[in-house]
Amino acid sequence: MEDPIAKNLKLSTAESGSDEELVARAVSLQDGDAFGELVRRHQSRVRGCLRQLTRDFALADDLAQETFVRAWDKLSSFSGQGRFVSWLMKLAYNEFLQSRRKAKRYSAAVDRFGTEQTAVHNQAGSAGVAFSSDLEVVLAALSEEERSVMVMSFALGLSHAEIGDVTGMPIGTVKSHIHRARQRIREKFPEESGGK
Amino acid sequence: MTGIHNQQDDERLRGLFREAMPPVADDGFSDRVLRRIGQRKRIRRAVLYLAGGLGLAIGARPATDLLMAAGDWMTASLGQSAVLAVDRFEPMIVVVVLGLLSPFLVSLLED
Repeated sequence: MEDPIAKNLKLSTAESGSDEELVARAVSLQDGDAFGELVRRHQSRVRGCLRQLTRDFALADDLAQETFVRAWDKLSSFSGQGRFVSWLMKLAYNEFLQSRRKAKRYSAAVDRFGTEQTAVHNQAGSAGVAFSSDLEVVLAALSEEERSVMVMSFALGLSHAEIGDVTGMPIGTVKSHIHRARQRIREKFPEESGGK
Repeated sequence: MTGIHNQQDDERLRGLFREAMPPVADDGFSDRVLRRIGQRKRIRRAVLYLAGGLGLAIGARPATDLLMAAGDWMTASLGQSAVLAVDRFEPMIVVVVLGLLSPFLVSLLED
């Protein structure tokens, strides 16, 4: 049974550090409290981003959980160069890509057997989707890469270089995706962009 | 002009995303993640100890043979007294050496 005072002290120390300090503590001391604080700090951004990418709350939360478990396993590989959140988003984005590949394989298999596809995760309007309709309409008009890049840029505030690192795209490609997405939004929804 | 347009677009888009993506409440998510990590740690440790034990069982015989071969070599080079010493303690030496090494090997694998 852990002493409550010691536990509180441990928690308050965990809460006060920067991300990098918490990572160092979690790696060197195998400190679960430090990692717990990292999860609490970043769960909202990771889950929010995955919800926008998958457009399915339940799937997004599963992927977010997988992301944090993987983060714990790979924590020692975080070099400290760049922000922790962008390293974490890279893992989350890989989880998203993996789940999309699985979903594609699944639908291909279902198609081969000539059965009607009934369980596609990434479909707008599925149960659990409750986005602001404006944003949903805006995002639905974009390609998947454009959507990912826009969510990371405008919702998470990642820089172009960070987005490039997360998605594995060159910065030029990131910029052109943003540019194209902006143009498409401007064409389709002049009232959203104000760019008439 | 395009720059101004882009800046206005960016501001509007940021506003749109802010509105549509309010902070997600934890609702026990972090605890679930930590519980899962704890479970994985326990399972991994159990598997490692099991594998270590199995390795110990499989490795004990070849290690004994190796020691006997070493005994033969010592007979040839050092004489009968060294062999008698090895023969007397041979199984115990194997168990002690492997027993001492196994926690080290398991923790190495765990890392």
